[in-house]
Amino acid sequence: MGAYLIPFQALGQQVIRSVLEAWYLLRFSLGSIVALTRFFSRQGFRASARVTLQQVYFTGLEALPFLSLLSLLLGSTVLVQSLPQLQGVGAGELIGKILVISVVRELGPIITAMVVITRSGTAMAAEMATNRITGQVEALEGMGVDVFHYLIAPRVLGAMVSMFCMIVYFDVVALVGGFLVASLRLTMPISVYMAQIADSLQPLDLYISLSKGILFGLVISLFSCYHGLRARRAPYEVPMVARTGVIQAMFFVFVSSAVLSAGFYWI
Amino acid sequence: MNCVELKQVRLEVEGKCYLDGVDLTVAAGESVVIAGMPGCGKSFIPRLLLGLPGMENEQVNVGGDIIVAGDNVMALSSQDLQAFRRRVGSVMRDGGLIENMDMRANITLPLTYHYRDVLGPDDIQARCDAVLGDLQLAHLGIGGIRPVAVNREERIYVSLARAMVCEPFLLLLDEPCAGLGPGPASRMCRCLFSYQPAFTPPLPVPDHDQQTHLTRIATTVDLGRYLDSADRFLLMWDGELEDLGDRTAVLDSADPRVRQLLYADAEASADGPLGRVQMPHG
Repeated sequence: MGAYLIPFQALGQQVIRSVLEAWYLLRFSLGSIVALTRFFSRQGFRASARVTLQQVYFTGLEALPFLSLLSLLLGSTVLVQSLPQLQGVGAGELIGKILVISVVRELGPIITAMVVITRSGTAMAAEMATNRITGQVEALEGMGVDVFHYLIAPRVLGAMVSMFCMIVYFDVVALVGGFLVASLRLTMPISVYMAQIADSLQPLDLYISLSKGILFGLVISLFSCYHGLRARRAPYEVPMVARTGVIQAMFFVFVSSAVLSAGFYWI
Repeated sequence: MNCVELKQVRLEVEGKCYLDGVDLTVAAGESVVIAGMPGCGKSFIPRLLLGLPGMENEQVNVGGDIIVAGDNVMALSSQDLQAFRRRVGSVMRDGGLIENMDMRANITLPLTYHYRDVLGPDDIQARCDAVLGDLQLAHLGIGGIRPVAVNREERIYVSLARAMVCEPFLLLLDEPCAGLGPGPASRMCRCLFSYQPAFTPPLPVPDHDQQTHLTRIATTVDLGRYLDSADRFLLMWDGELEDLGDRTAVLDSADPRVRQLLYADAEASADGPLGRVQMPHG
């Protein structure tokens, strides 16, 4: 009888581990969000604000060249692929709708999130793990520095602000890419192109796209910092925690994007 | 007046008992050295005094009372603990410097974080310059020198500078001289146990009476190095703390454990692979 129970015992232990893990992550997230709400009002704001600006620089500004290339290529590729189909059925005026649906609503937030995860999420997790392993986190705690306020909240805030701005930037550059293709293939004047985009773009599209950006920035930074700080004593843990953070952040981004889109546009 | 009181402190980390009913009283202004073999758990004492019993998510059990300057450290709220820690200086084993900051930013970090409302940027930099000058480290005050670019001795001195700019009433030193040669280690011992800068104006801290008497607690495996520096010595062995008395009492002690810690190099015994003295049972 004992042998039959072994799989169930292993399953039970795995469930308990997962529930505990979820609880630790939730507790960490709540602590970070509380620190974020008191970010501007408490002692040490100036020191933390400097870390926030550095995070915006690393996450947002440094990623702009790469993001520009991605968004320009994406915007133009979407039209390169869809224009022949649309012209074939005499629906060339739908290019605005195609761009808004594919780029602004879905691909903009997701691709920007992927850029932030691969560039900044991994960097954040590795930095936090190194800080933990080399005793820097303990040193900060020993000085009375609130780790949530000084280490976590600036990164969360920086990632949220960066994601918000990067999505706006991504959408604009992607639409420019789309215009380049439209003007070459259809000799479409910019006023007509802009009018089509404006007709297709609803305020809800912008709200949801930008809300996704803020949510993804929050989650990417939280997951990265949480897993980074889980490292304990050995350098070999750095890539392990970075990988876990990236996988969980990607999973959350794709699932939540799908759920939000289904919730707002389909149901 | 007592600065530190440990009453029947017990610490278990991941099921292993490191401190088993430890009692310790340190008077304000006293300098105390806790000696013990590597891995005996002595480093947990400065950590406990800072309210840092273990890493996050570790299974840690702490029992007993840890009282510092009248506050029960383990009973303090998160905010009170942070306010308490800003008045305690600590020098961790490797210095604990923030690697992505230069030396000046490391030293001024606690001031920038805690005292920016009472000290202007010029006051903060002046304090940093004063401490660097006292410790003959002015060359490290040049911007852009990161911890990775300096040697271990300088890291510890910078860590000391960072601890002292906030005018602590308690200085905790966790094996600060480990890994240094005899000359630098002796120099550092003298500095760690004698240096106390005086800033004008002083920081607004509540314990003015204790502020004038800096209490120092250090841990070490090399007891002999500290004999001329500290007032009192203790031995950590098998989770218990034994008071050895002052310098004379330590030198007169016939206890083989004390002699091993005193003459670690000269009497490297063959009792065990780590040179640990085997005590008779019973």
